[in-house]
Amino acid sequence: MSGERPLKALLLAIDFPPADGGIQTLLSDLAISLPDASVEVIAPSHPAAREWDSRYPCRVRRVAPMPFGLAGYLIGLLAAAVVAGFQGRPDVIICGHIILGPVAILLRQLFRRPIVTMVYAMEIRPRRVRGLATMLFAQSTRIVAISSFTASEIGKYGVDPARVVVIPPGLRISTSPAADAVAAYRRRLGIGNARAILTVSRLRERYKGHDTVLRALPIVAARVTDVVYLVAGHGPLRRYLEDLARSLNLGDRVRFLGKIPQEELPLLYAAADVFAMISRDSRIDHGVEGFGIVFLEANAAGRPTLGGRTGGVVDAILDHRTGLLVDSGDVLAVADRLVRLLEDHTLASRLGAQGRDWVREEMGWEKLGVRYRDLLGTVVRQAHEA
Amino acid sequence: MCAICGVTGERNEAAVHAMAIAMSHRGPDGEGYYFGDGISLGMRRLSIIDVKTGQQPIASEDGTIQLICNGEIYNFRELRRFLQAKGHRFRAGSDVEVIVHLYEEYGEAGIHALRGMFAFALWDDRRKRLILGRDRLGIKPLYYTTVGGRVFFASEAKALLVCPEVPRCVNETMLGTYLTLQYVPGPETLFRGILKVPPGHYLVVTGPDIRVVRYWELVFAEPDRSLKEEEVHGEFETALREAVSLHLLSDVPLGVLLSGGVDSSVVTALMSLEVGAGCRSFTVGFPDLGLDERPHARRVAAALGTDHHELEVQASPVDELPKVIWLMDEPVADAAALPTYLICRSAARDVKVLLTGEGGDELCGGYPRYAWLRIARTLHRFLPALRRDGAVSRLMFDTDREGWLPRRLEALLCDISDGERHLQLVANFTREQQRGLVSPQACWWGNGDLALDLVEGVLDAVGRDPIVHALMYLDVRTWLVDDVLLKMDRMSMGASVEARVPLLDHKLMELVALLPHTFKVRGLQTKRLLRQAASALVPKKTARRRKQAFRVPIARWLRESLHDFARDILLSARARERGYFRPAQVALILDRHQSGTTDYSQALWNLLTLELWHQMFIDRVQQP
Repeated sequence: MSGERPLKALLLAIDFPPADGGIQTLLSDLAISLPDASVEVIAPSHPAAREWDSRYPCRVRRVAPMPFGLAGYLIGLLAAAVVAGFQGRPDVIICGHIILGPVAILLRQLFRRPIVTMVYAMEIRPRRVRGLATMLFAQSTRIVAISSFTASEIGKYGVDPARVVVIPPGLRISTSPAADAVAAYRRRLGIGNARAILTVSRLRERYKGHDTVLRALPIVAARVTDVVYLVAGHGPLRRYLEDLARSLNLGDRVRFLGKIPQEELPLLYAAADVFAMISRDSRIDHGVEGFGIVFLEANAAGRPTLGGRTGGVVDAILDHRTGLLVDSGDVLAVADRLVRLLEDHTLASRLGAQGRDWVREEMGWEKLGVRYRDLLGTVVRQAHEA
Repeated sequence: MCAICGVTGERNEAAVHAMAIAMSHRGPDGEGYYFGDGISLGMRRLSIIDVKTGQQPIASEDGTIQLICNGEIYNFRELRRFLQAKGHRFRAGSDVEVIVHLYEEYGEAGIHALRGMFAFALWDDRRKRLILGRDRLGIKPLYYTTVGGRVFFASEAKALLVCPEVPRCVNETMLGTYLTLQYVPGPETLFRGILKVPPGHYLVVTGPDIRVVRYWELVFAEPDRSLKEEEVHGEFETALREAVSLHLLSDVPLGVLLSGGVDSSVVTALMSLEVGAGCRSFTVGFPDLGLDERPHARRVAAALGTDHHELEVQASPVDELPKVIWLMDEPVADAAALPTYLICRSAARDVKVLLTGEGGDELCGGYPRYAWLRIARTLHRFLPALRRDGAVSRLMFDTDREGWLPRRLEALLCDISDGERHLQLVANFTREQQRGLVSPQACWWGNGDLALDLVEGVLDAVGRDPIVHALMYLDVRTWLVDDVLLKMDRMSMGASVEARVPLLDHKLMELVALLPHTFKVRGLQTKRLLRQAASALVPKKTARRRKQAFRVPIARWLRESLHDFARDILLSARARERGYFRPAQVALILDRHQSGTTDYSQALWNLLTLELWHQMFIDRVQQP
C-alpha cells in the first residue's frame, strides 16, 4: 500500500487554526510535514476559517456549528468523517483529541483502519474522561505522547508502554529577523533599552504562571532596575493579571500586549531578553503543561528560556543547556533565575545560542515529520499484516 | 515574638527604654537595644525559635543593617538555604535573621519573599533610612507617629504614649466610625496623630520623609469557566495542611484554641495529624445555657484524642475588664476579647504558642451577611416593588425598629446601597441611632458618614460583582485586621503567649481567592469549601455547625453584675463633661436594656469600651 501510493491519513481535530493554541499549531504543522503522505483534516468551523484554509496546503473539511455543544460537534464530525472516509479511503485515522474518541472508534469499525491517538496531558487527567480514554487507548494501535511526562500520564491507564511513542511537537523554523527590525519593534513596544521578560500564551489557563512572574517582578526589579514584563496574549484572565500587577505596585513595568499576530511573533521573541513561563502542575482544573512549544519558539529566536519544572516543560527546556528550570511554586527562586538570565549576558547568550542550535537540529518539523511518517507507516503496515 | 519600638533622629535612650518597658508583657524573656547615628531601637523578646541565641537587634555581617522584628517567618529555613548559597553568613538560628540578608540582596523588595506574620523595623545605616514593614494580613501590629520630623514607632500604641513628645489626644474625626463599626479602621487610630502601618505595606523613612508602599493585596477573581467543586478539594486540602504544618514551627511547646466551631476544629485536626494525638487543646466557656461551646469542643477533642483543657468563666468580668481595655490599646468593642484573654492566660501555663482558627470566615466566606446581601440583590432584581424605603419593616415593626430582626429585614428589603446594607447588618449604632445619641455640641459628628464612605470606597475599588468577593475583600481590609487580629494579638500577648493563625497563610488565601464565590457561599450555606474539608477531619456534626460568633453573655452581665458599673462609668461626671453623648439618651438605653424591652448589649458595650478607654488612655484616671 504505502509503496504504491502516498500514505493517506484522516486527522480528526477539535483544536485547529485559525483558533490559537499549542495543540492547534501542532496539528496544523503535523498535517503538512509528513513526507510521502497526504492528510485530510476535519475541524470545527471558525469565522476566519475560509481565508486560513485557502492558504493551507492540506484539505480541511469544516464542520458547521451544531446545536448541543460537543455532542453536536461529534455528530457533525462523524458525518463529515464518513464522507471523507468513503471519498478519500484513508489508511489511518489520527485522533487529534481523546474527546473525539467515539468518532474515531466508530470509523475504525466502519473502515477497518487503525487509529493513532494524540495525547497532550491535561485532557486525560480528569476522572470523568477515564472511561472514554481507556476505551480509546484500547482501540488505538499507537498513542503519541508529546512528552515523557505525557507518556507517564498515559502509563497510569495501564497502557502497554510499547504502544506509546513520545514525539515532541516540532517547530517551523523561519529565518531570524534582522537586528534593525528587532530594534524598531522594541521602539514600537516602547521598551527602549529596558530588559524585557516575555510570556506568550492565551490568558485563559491559570496554570501558565503569569502570576508567579508578576510576584517575582518586584524582587527582580530590585536588581535589574529597568526590567519590564511583556505579556502577549488575550483572554479572560487579563483582568485578574492587571489587578494583580496593580496590587504589586508594578505600574508600567508590565505591558499587556494583547494578541500578537502569528507573523509578528518572531520579532517579539527576538525583542525580549528572556522568555519565561512558569507553568505549574495544578490539581485545580487539572492544569499542566503537556510540552510548551513557545519555549522552542523563543529558543529559535536565540532567547534563553525559563520554565517551571513541571509536566512536559522538562522536555521543552534542556536545563542549563537551552534554558533554566525552576520550582514553579518558589517565587524567590523564579526571581533569582530571572535576575541571573538578565544580569549574566554570557549565560543568557550561551543558553539562547544553544537553544537555537537544538531547535534547528532536533526540533524542526523536517526531522519530526519523518518520525511521525515512520510511525504512521509502521501502524498501517502492521494493520495490513494483521 | 516580641515587641519592637524605636525613634529616628538623635539618640533617645530614655524614650526607647520607656517604650520597651511599656510592652514588657509582650516579651518577658529578654530585651535588646541599638543606638546609632540617626536611630534608637528597642525590643522585648518572647523566645519561640532559637531560644538560646535569637537575641535582637540582629545586625548584618558588617553591622550597617540593624533589625528588630516581632513575628515569625515560617519559610525561614528555605530562605536561609537560598541566602547561604548566595554567600550570606548567618550568625544564629533565628528565623527573622533572613530579613537582614534579604534586604542586603534585594533591598526593600526582599519583603516579598517572606511568608509569615511580622512587623519589623530595619535600619540601613549607610543610607540612613528606616524600613517599617508589616505582614500581608496585619497579624502583627505596628504603630507610628511623627513629632517634630522624628518618627516614633512601636508594636503597641500605648508605648508611644509614654514618650513625652507624643500627645495624648482623641482623634475625634473617627469617633462616629468607631460607634458604627466598634473599631477604628486603619490606618487611623483613635489617638490623634498615631497611625497604623497598613497590612501588606511598608514605610520607608528617610529623615522627616515617609514613603508608604503597598507590596501585597488580596486579589479575587472568578474563573471564566466552570470548575467542579470536587476538582478543587484536593488542592485546597493540601494547601490547608501545608499552612497548618508551617505554623507548627517552634522550639517551645504548642497548643491550640479549640472552640468547637468548624475553623478551630479543622486546625486542631490538622495539627493532630502532624504532631500525633495528645496535642494540647484549650477551650473557654460560660455556664449560660445556649452560650456554652464546651460540649462542642469536647466532642471534637474526644474524636481527635487531644489533651483537652477547659476553662469555665464564672465570675463577673468587672475585675478583668479594665485590664482587657488596657491590653487592647485601641478601643475595640468586641466582647470576645475577654474570654480570649482568660483562655490565653490559662493556656500560657502549659504552652507558649497557640494555634487558632481565626480567619476561617475571611478565608472561605463564613459570615451569613454574605449570603444575605446576595439574596437582597436578587430580591431587588426580581421584586422591584420592594424598593420602598423601609416600607415592609415599618409596617411590621412599628415600635421597635432597632432590634435584631427589623434591622436585618431593613437590610434585606430596603432600597439602599450595598454599603448601607452592609452597615445595617454590622453596625453597633446606625446613623439614625447616632443622631439621637450624640450630643448636639459634638462638632465631630455630622460631617458626612465616614464609615459609609469607607465601605463604599472599598467596594468601588474592588468591584461589586460578585458581591460575596467584594464583601470578603472589605472584611479582610477592615474587620479582620482592626478587630479580629488586633484582639487576638493583644489578648495573647497580654498573657505572654504567641497566637498563630494558619488559616490566614497568604498562599492559602491567594488560592481560595481565585475560586468561584459559589464554592464559598451558596444559598444560605456559608464556608462550603472549609466545611467540605472538615467533613473528612472532624465529626460530621461539627462540620455542619452553623456560624456562631464567640458568644459572650454581655446582655446578662449588663443587666446584672455589670449594670451598676456600666451606669456609673457611662453617666459619670467625667463622661458628661466630655460631652460626646446626651446623658438622657445613654440612660434611656441603659434602662431599656435593663428592662429587657430591647437588647442593647452591643451598643452599651461599645459605649462602655470607649469611655473606659478614654479614662485610661486619655484622662489617665483608670488603672488597668
